[in-house]
Amino acid sequence: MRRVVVTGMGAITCLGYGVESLWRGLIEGRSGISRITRFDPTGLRNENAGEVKEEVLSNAPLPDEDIDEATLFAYLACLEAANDAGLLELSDDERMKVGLVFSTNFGGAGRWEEFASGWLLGQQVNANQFEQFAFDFAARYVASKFGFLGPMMTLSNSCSSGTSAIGVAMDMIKLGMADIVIAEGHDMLSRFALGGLSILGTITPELIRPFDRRRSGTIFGEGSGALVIEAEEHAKERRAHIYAEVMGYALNSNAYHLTAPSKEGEGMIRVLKQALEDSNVSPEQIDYINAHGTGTQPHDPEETHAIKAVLKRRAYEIPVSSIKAAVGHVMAAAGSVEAIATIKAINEGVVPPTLNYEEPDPECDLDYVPNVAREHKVNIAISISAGIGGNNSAVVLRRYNGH
Amino acid sequence: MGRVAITGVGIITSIGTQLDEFARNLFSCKCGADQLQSVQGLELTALRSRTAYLIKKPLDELLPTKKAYLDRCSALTIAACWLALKDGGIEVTEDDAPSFGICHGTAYGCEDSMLIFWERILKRGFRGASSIMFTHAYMNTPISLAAIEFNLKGYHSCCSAGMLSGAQAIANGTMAIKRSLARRILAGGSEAFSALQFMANYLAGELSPNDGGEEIMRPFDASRNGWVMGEGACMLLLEDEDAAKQRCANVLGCIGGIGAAQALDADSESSISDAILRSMKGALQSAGVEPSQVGWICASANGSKRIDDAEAVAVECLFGNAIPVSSPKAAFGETVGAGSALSICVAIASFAYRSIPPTLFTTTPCANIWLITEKPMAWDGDKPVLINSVDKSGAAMSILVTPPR
Repeated sequence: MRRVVVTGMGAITCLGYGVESLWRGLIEGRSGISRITRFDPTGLRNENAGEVKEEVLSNAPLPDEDIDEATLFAYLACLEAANDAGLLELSDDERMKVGLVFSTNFGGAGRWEEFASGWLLGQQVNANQFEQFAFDFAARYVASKFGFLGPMMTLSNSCSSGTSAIGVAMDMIKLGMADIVIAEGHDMLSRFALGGLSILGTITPELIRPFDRRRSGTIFGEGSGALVIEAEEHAKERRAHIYAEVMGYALNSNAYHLTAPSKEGEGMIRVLKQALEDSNVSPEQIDYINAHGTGTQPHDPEETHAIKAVLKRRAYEIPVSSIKAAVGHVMAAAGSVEAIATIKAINEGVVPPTLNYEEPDPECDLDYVPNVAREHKVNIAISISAGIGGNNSAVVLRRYNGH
Repeated sequence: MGRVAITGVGIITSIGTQLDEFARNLFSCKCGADQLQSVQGLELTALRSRTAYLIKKPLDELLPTKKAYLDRCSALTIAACWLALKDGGIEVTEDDAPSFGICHGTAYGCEDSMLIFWERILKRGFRGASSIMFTHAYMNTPISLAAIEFNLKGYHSCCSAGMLSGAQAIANGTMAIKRSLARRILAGGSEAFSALQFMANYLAGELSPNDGGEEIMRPFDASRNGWVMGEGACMLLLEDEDAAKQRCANVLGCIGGIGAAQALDADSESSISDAILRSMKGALQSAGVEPSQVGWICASANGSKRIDDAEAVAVECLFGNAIPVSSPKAAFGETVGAGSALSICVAIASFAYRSIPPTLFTTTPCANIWLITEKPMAWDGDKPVLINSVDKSGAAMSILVTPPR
């Protein structure tokens, strides 16, 4: 079966537009979390979030159309990734074969809020607002802007979505449905989403502190991550730069509860084992884990337990970090942005830190790379995601060695 | 790489539940549409569009337990999963659970729950929101609940892409089985009627009668004037053909090939037509099947002015008028996320009953294609059926379903 590689990356987060802005922010230990300005956050458990500010957007190559932020983020991340991979230099015929696997938790939530509010208040509503809410709107928009007209899918696997998209893109290539597929995740901060996540108690009223004893919840963010996933022989033929190899992935469900973690991390243990099996990689070969690490009380020990159960002794020998205190939990984009951070760690030999980590928790007893980035050679890494509904995903990425 | 077999179906539509009732009504040309005065508090008398295809059977009769689900889309999904498992003659054991997955498609998901949740935020602010409504308002809530209900611990994915939602879920599930990421997968889609989406589609001019004429769904007819919303759910039990054989399962058909393509310009009929053409060619190519080997084409046509024309042109371009074509949607409505899986069930019914259902209410076909109208047409049921799914945006996916051996 064909080998699958990554040949382009693009990102927009509260740390800025572009993969370099993201990576610089991460290794410098900066957090882009600040007070929400897009709407009045009064009443939320925390008025801060990883918001993409106007100054970031004002310096970005914005399209002419009036589109919602969710689609805008997806467009900008894909623009960078497509340029990076040289996809915009392909002939029209070649571009027509490029596939898209997008993912989102809430679609064009801002436009839906406008439509639904108008409807509920008996005001005039506009069908276009509803159309922009459609979860596949961003993929369709990107397809028409760039002429990427191959197979398309839009996934919505809550916060596992971005990782799922990478896996499904890999499947499309392995099964010969496409040679190039952009795997993308995007979401925007909306009153709908934050209102729900706040009342659910997922959001901390304090700082987000993944794996720290005093952790009390997560902080959400927004943005998009896009990865150009390509068949190795196709990438070589067109002399594309190869960042990493996608070895394998897994998706599954705890089949237990919509919001509570599974008992003893059973679902996450299975997803890690399945991802390693699909990649034909042993636990001893793993050099780094980019954890889901949300900073919620129940999740972080569950993830730690799963990592230890699968990697055994190796779990204590390698760094495990979460970038959520830097960019926020960017929902469907989390898996995509974290995969990009993982690939940067592989290529740069530096692992990003877990910010705000101060007090160790006996239940979370791994090396979480507290607060400061660290030089560390990474050949093979795993990026883990999990989401509301009880689903889990993991993708295994490897340094590309040229053969 | 083994073939992916369909060994069970769960069907819930306005014209019947499960294959026998659904097929019987389909082949006797029943139409599930109803004229409504109001629905979900929405007064329809002032609107031109007042028809919908709603499921009349109480869902409690179709659910495995007495549990009440907050959202109709979730209840429909769980009921369809339950019916598919029963039809496939399989129970999910603890041993099977990790390799038993679910891929589900829905365009609008739990929109009613979203609206109830949002209304409370508007009235009471963030602190007055309901956490329970929120957790039941995610697009993936239906499959999460189905996974919990049936212990489906394996591959797990939700697709949301308008009228392609179900087709994408079936493609996703097929790929997962072919890649050995799962052994068995429940795949399909569901859509519950929602007043909000009714109004959005009405305002967008999608619904019949967008020309002010008679309100009726006439796929491919020269006088068609829009589509009529339906609700429905359909889940297919997909499994590796070897696994199916091992347990002596009744194979209803196999997924032979899949193709998909986008239109560059959703407003251009030729661009949409080109996408449908590439999608159909992709499905045939991946199955190694020539156009002349196709038994009939189960079209996506739903009465939309633009999309039906584009599909007819694409079909004519690839098949001429040599292969029978029919769209079953005037029987059970445009069920959006459930439409693709239901079309596959129509193909399965055509294998079993050796009959192709007609395109109801169409009298003057808009193109030179061999459109089956008025009454069912007998056929041998021994050739693959090409199923098209086309979204109003011009995105297309085609699935070739081969008959049981």
